[in-house]
Amino acid sequence: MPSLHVQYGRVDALLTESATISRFLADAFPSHLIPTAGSVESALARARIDFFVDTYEVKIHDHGMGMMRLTNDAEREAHFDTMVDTIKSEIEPMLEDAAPFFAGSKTPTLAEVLIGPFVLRAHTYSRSGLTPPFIHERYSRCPVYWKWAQEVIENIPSFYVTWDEKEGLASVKVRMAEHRAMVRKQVEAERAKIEAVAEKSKGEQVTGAGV
Amino acid sequence: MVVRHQWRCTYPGSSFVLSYAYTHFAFRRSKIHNMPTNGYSINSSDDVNRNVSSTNGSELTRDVPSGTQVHWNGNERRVPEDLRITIFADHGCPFAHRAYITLHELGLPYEDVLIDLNKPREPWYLKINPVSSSKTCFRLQNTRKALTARRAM
Repeated sequence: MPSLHVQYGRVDALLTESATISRFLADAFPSHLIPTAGSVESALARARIDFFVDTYEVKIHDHGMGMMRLTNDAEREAHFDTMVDTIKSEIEPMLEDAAPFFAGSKTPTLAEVLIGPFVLRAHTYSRSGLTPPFIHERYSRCPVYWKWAQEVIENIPSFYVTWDEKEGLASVKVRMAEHRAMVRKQVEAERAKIEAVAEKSKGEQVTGAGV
Repeated sequence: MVVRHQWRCTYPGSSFVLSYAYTHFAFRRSKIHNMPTNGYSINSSDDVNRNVSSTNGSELTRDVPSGTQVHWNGNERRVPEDLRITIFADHGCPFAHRAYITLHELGLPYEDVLIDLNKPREPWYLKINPVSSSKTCFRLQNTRKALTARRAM
């Protein structure tokens, strides 16, 4: 969604996609967020961050969003359990040397910048009771991730310049309800389609028997 | 709560402490302007600028004055005077949050144009960014809304 317009000297460009924007800014203005490319060591540090962000996006975030499709709590619980298992096996090994931030960094890195917003929201929602209560308890099973998540939520001041918990919760409640209604409609449409196909084949069988 | 975070949480033992203190002091004093002094040259036709100023959802802020001293790569540097960054986004969206955090961590000045996620995109915004919703928190819904708004244009 976000787009960024940059004017600087002869540069006049419009960028879209959040990750692209963040990476562009971090590369244009070298900082504590990510080492500048150009040596084997820095390339390795960059690759570590990339791999972490990618793993989280594909295996945790997309999986977590899949919970929206589920209608009852038992299904959601099973779904969340597999997510916690993935955190345990795929995410925690990468966070073992976090002190307090990614790869032993004292200051936030691009890994925190790109993943933090989702961690912050997930924890805000579960703390405020927007998501089922078991979610909060389950995190005790992955203490390494939990410790890192707490650091991300509490100790990065720049997270709170634009984030307003009350407003965020109010707007996500509206959007969650809309999204649920839409998903329900989709599921019903799919079911109707399947039923129609089943009825058609049934009819064909009947006529087949008649002939 | 925001104030508590800004003043209590610094990064101990880091050389960025001063820059953070300065940056967050600047944030606290930030002002909201109604219009940027010069418009958007990506699409600087008059109707785009008029629409920006007339849209209720857009606030244009310049948080850090250019020329502010910040730390990049451990060195003290100044934000270039002719650097102009404008971000079009929603404060609630986690994807937009990534871009905001990066800007704040780097101490860059920027203008903030708010785009309400819960409403269909305004035509002037779709002119700037026609594929505005490929990666939002609620992908399907927003794509549909954006498409509806485009069709209505």
